[in-house]
Amino acid sequence: MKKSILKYRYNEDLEFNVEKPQIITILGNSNNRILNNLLWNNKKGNIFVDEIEVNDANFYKYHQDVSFILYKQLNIFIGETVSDEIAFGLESLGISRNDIHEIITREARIFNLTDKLEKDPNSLGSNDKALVKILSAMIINPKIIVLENILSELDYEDYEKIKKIFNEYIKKGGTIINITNNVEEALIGSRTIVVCDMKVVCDDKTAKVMTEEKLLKRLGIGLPFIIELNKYLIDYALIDKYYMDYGKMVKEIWK
Amino acid sequence: MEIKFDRVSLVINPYTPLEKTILNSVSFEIKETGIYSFLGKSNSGKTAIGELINALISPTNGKVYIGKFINDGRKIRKINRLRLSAGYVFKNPYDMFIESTVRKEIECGMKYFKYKLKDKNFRAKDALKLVGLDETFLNMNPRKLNLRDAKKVAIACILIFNPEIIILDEPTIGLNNKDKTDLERLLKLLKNRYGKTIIILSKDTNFCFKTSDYFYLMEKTRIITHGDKTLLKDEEILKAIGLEVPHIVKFSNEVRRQGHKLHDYINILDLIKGVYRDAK
Amino acid sequence: MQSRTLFGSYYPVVSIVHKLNPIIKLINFLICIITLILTNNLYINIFMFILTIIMMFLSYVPIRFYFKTFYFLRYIYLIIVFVCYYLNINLTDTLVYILKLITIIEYLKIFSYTTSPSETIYAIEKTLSPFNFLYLPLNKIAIKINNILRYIPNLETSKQKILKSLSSRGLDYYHTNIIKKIYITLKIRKNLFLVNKDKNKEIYLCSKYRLYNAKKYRTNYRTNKIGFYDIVFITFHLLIIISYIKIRGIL
Repeated sequence: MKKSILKYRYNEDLEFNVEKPQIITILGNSNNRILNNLLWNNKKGNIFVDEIEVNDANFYKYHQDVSFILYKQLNIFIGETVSDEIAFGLESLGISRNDIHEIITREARIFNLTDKLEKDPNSLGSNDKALVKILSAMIINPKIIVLENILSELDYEDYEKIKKIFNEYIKKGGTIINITNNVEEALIGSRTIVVCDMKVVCDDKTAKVMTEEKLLKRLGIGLPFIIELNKYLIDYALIDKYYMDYGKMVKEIWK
Repeated sequence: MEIKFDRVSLVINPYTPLEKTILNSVSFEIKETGIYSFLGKSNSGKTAIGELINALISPTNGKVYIGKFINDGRKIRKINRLRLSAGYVFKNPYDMFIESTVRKEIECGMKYFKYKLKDKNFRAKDALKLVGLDETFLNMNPRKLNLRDAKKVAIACILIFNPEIIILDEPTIGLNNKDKTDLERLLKLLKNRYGKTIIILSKDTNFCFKTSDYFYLMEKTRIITHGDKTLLKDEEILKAIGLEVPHIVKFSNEVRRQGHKLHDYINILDLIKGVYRDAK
Repeated sequence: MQSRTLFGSYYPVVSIVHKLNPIIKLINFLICIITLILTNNLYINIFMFILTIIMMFLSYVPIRFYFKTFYFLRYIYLIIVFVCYYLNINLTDTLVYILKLITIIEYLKIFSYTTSPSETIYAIEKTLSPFNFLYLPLNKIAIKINNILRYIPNLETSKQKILKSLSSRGLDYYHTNIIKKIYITLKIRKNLFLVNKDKNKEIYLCSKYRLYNAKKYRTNYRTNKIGFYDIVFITFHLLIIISYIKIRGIL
């Protein structure tokens, strides 16, 4: 039997279970409280990583397995240059100097940050700050990465690049939990959880959650543009199933 | 009120190894009331434009004219009157909060302006109702709110003293779809009924396409072009600058590329009616 | 960005002094302080002063930053001159006292502009490690020095942000009379404390999420080899100690 990667339980109304590597989006109006619980700030609820419960004794290992990137910490940097900031986590793990140098040059080329490695991180734009934070969280290879409202700070080109980087990360066995208010980001992931007033309303594959348009509209979340367009076209009997590509959709409408 | 930028440049830390140019010879002019948008990637100088209009910083070269005030490095007399007519909402709302409760935070804007406000009965809870929050928020600590509520409280802090020019810096990060439609309705109400000039600095082309009348596209440190909504229908310029093409424009361009005719629409409902009429 | 001139700020530029090994810089600094406290010889003080000026130019930090501290403390120097004149101390001794004060303060500024806080912590830990046999809580001392070194520039940036936020609501510190200035300073005292407490807590949490643990072994990414210029500078400093010992006639 496969081990579950992460099991989170606050009470009987709010619990979810992650069993295979995937991207999960959490929408709703209780995002702040869920995040506080995951950070173990008030010690309510139970968190199980690899079926071992998290408590004060093995808290260090919890942070090695689960990496957090928060919106409030986007302007807070520990190192004085970008490479110091990225290397901080690797230094804490005791990796030797040459290995750190290799890892940083390789990853910075993927993220396109090579020419900014010796700059002061406080002088960068918000797009580059978000990239530095994502890179410094991914570089210690955690099992789970938790993001909060970070992807809306990125420019469009880097947003598309990060989507590809995340998909590769999933193939290597990691999980990503994206806690956000922007419903367009739900299309990145394969599973969506909708929470309202600390109760799980929906927890299913993204395609199925997007069919419940009345519920999402009542909660204020709404639908992404392309899903809404498909829905209206189906209601007006112009197409018969969902199309994610505009070219094929147009051909189908005017056939 | 008129706003005019006359070949304005802004350089920080000049003559040192850390020198950085933020704006390079920027000029434009805003004469009528309306909603104007400045679109551009991050690090292209948008925040500096908002701070220059509010006289929080002064330019290295050139002059900024706001009504009858001039901001060019010299001391501005009666600077509070300028700040009373131009309100600037910070990008990170937690940077703006100084008091310990939301009520004191909002009333702080009313207390320090010595000049009499026209409508003295406009209280804090009316400002909160305009942005969509109820009275229970009045006693909370603003630094402990989540991002969505903090952004709305920041806008309420500026609306309380009724400025003629409102500058919003990245207002849509962290907001729901419903909050975005509420914000759009609020901005249009302020423009039509109260006659205000609204400036939005953002990189969210979808929201700005629906809301504003006139656009300025910025890249690196300059204004590249400016125009009304037909400017955003050109996919080449937007891709060259690095901005996202609005969804409606992408769909309409794809329809026209395959040879069918379609008018220009802004709303998704009008778009569906247009497509239905054409396809049947 | 405006707070670059303060004590404790690191000026991120690449220069000869920036590349020196931080342990060597700390040892040089300690040699400088100890020799200057112990001696009153004119030649040693002038030599130390000229060495400091050469290091100022080699650090590629704009000279006007160093000049600002000098300008800030000009009254204290003048008071010392008058006190010495009043006490009938002779001229060379007065000159020596003033040179000592200027040298120590400017050397401290050079050290803080060219060494980042994490390098300083590394240097302090390694220099104090021979004293491990005394069983002192070295880690806690290092963490406390770390917090102090980062606290002062953070305080200044928080203050600038609060002043900006107050300006946009009608209370501009730089454009009001003296009564309002006193009012603003008293008003933001409490807010500054709370904002800085929040920020320090976030910095602590940020380092905890990046697996910082004081008890575990950490490597150091910055290459800390000893290069050519390290040997040059430490020779100059050792010359001072040797000449002091010769003058006192111990050897």
